[in-house]
Amino acid sequence: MLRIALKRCRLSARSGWLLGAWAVGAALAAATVWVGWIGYGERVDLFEGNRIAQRVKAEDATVYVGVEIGFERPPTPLSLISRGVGEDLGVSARIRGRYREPELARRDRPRTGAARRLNADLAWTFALVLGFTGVFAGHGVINGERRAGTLKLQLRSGLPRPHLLLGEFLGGLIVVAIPLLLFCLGFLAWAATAGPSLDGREWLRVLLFFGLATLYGAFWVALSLCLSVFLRQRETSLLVGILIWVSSAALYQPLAGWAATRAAPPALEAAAASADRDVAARRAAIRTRRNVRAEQYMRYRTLASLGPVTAFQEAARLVATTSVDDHIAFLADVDDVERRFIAWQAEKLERYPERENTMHSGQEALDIGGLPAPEYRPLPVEASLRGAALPVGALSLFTTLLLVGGVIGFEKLDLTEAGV
Amino acid sequence: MFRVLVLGELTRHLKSYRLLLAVVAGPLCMVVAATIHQIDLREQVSAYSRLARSAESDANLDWVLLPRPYPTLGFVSADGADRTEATVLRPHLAAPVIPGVSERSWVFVAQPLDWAAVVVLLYSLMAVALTYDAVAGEKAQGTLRVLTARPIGRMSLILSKIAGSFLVVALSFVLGAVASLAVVAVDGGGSLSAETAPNLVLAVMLVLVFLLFNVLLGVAASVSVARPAAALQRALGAWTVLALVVPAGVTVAGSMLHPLESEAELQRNFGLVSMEFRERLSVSSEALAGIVNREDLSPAQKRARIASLEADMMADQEAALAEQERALAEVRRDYLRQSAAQRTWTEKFSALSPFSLLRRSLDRLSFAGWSGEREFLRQVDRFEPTFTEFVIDQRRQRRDEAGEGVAMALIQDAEGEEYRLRGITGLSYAALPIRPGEGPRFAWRRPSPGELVNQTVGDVLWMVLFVAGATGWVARRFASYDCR
Repeated sequence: MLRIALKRCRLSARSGWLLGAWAVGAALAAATVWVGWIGYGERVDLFEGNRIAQRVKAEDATVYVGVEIGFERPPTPLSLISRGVGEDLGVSARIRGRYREPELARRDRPRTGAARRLNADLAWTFALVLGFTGVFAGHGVINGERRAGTLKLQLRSGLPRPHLLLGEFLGGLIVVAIPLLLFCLGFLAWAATAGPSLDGREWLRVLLFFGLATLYGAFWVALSLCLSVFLRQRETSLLVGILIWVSSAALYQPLAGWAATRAAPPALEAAAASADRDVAARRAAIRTRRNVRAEQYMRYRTLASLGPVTAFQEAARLVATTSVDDHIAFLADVDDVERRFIAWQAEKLERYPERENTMHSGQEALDIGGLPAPEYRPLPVEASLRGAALPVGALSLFTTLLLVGGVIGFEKLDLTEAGV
Repeated sequence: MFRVLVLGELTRHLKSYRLLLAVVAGPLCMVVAATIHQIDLREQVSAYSRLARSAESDANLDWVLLPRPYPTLGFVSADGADRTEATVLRPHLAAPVIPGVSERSWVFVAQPLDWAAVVVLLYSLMAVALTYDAVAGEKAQGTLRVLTARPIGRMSLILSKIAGSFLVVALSFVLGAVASLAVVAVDGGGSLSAETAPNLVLAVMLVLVFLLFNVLLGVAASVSVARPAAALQRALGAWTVLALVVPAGVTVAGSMLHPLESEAELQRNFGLVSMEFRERLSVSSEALAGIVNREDLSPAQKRARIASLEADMMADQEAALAEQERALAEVRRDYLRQSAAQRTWTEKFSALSPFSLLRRSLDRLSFAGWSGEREFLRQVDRFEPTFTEFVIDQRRQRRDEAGEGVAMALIQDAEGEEYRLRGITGLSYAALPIRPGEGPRFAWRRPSPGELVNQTVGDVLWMVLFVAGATGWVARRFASYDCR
C-alpha cells in the first residue's frame, strides 16, 4: 500500500500542474496572511485607542448621563484563519445602562475598502486551493490507469484491490498534505518570530486548523478517487469533481443560508420597533432581533455541515473563536455588564441625585468609583471542539463513505477488454 | 454543409451527460435564484416601508433617513443592494449609516444567489465542459481526420463546432431566463415593467456574448493540445485565472493602490475636529460664577448680565456648531472620496477579465454594485448641504421662538437664589423632531434606461473584443493544427 502511495507521489511530483497549483496556492495563502495581518494590526490600534478614549471619557464626565462603558472583544490573531460571523455580528459594545440599550458595532473589521468584500482568511483560501488540488490529485487515478492498461498490470502482482485504492488515496493525501505541512511550518515560524504573539491555547487552535485542513483535503482526494472509479473518462471525473466543488462553495452556501432564514424568519417587526423612542420597547426589539439572528446562524451551521466547503469553514470559525458561539457568549457578557452598570447607576443616583444631568459650578469630580469593568472571557478550546464535532464529524463521515463506496465500486469494476 | 456540421455537433452533445447538466442544472439554479429574490423582495419592501414610516414620524434634527427603493432587478445582480437601500444622514456624526432596512432577510455569510452568480460560476463551466474536447476529443477518436478530409474549410469546421456548442449553452440560458422571469412575473412585486425591459434585454444579450467567450475558451484549449484530458486541464486553468484570480487580484490591487484611511485614523480625525470646537461649545461656568458671586449686583441685574452672556455665548456656540458640522462633513467626504477612487479604479480594471466585466455590467443594469451605490451617494451628497442648512436655520428659529437650549450650568448665590446658564450642545437638539411637512425632501432618482444603455455600450464592446480576439486565436491555431 505504501509502495502504491509513493508511486502516486512520484507521478504527481513529475506533473507540472501540481507544482504550478501549489505555487499559486502558496502565493494566495501568503497574500491572505499578509492582508489579514495588516487588518489585524489596524484592529489592535483601534482597540487600544478605544480603550483609552473610554477611560478618559469616564474620568472627564461631569454628569452621570455621560458615563458609559465600552466593551470590546480584543482582536484575535486567529481571525487570520477565519474572520467569521463573530466579527460580522459585532465585537464592540457601548453600554449606557438605564438611559439607552447597548449598541453593538463592527469594530473588528479592517477598512481596506474593496478588499473588505473578499473573505480574506485562510479558511476561504484553503477551501479553494485544497479543493482544487484534491480533485486534481485523484481525478485520473483509476480510470486513467485503466485506459492506459497499467491497472491490470498492478493487480496482476497480487495486490488486493482495496489495498491498491487505499494506497492511491494515501498517495493523494500525501500530495495534498506535504505542501500544507510546509506552509503550516512556515506560518508557525512566522508567528513565532515576526507574526502575532500567540498564547498556548492559540497555538493549539492553529494546529487544530491545519489538522482540519488536512481532513478537508482528504475529502476531496476521496471524492476524486471515487469519481475515477465510477466514471470511465478521467476528464469527466475532473469536470464532475470541479462542478461539485463549485456547487458546494458557491451554490450550496446561499441555499443553506436562505433555508436557515426561512426556518427562523427575520424579526422585521423588531427591526421597525428598534427605531422606537421608548427605551424599554427598543431594548426588547433589539434583544428579539439578536435572538432571531443567532438562531438563524445556529440553523445555518447545522445545514452547512452537510456541504464539504461550508462544513470546513464552519469548523474553522469554531476553531478560530470567530463563530456565532463566541458572539453569543460575548452578548451574554454584555448583558451581565449592563445589569451591573444599571445597579451602579442606581446606587450613584441615590447618593448624588442632582448630578444626573445638570452640571454645577465649582463641583467636585464625578464619583466613578466601583464602575463595573468588563472582562472578555474567550470560550475554552473544549467548547470549540464540542461545537466543531458536527461539521468535523460530517466531513469525516463523508470521506469514509466515499472511500467505502470507492472500494466497493472498485471491487466490482470490470477490467476485461469489454469493460474498458 | 455548415448546417450539417452544426447539427453533428449538437448530436454529439445529445449523446453526452453534459446536455443533461446544461438543460437541468442551469435553469434550475436560475429559478431558485428568482424564487429567493421574490421572497427577499417582499421582506425588504415591508421592512423598508415600516422604517420609512417610522422615519417620517420620528425624524429629528439629529438625523434623517434617505431612502432608495430596493433595486427591482435584484435577481439579475444583488451585489451591494443591501448597502445602498437607505442611508441615515447625521450632520453631527460620522459617515452615513445604513439603518435597519439593510438587514438582509437571510444570514449574510451567504453570498446572494442571482443570475450573475449562476452565469459566472455554472454556465461558464458548462460552456467549457461542452467544448474542451471539441477538437482534441475528435482527434483522440480518429474522427477529426475524417472530418477534415471532407470538402470543407477548416474555418467552417471550427465555426460549426463553436456554433453547435454555443447553441446548447445559449438555449439552456434562455430557458433558465424565461423560467425565472415567469417566476418573477407570476409572483409580482413590480420587478418587471416597461421601464426595466431594456435593462433585461441588454443583460440577456451581454450574458450570451459572455457565454460565447466561454465556448471559445474551451475550444481554444482544445486546439492547443492533442489530448482531451490536457485540454480540460488547460481550460480549467484558464477559467480559474479569469474567473477567480484576476477579479480577486484587481480588488486587492485597487485596495493597495488607493489605500483608505484606517478606521482608527478616521475616528481620530473626527476626534480632532470635535476637540477643536470643544472649548467653544463648553458652557462658561466660571463666567456664570463671576456674575453670581458679585455682591454689588442685585438679582435682576445678575439675571440681565447672565442673559447677555448667554446670548453672546449661544451665538458663538451656534457658529462653532455649524463650523464643526462642516468640518466633520469634510472628514467624511474625504473618506468617501478615497473609497470612491478605490472602487472606481477596481471597477475600471474589472474589464481585464470577461468574468468581472460581466458582473460589472449586470450590476449596472440592475442598479446594484458600485455604480448604483455611487449614484446614490452622489445624490446624498447633493442633498446634504441643503439638510445641514435647514438644521442650522431650524435651530436658530427655535431658539428665537422659545429660547430653547439646555441649562448647562446651575449655581446659587449667597442668598440661595438659583441662576442658570443655558447653552447649545449636540444633545440639546437631538430630541427635537422635524415638524411635519417641513424640511427638504430627498427624492431618489433612478438612472434612466438611456443613461444605463450609455454606460453599458462600452462593456458590450469590450466583451465583443474579447470574443473577437478569442475567435481569431482559435481560427489561427486550428489552421495549423495537426489533425493526424
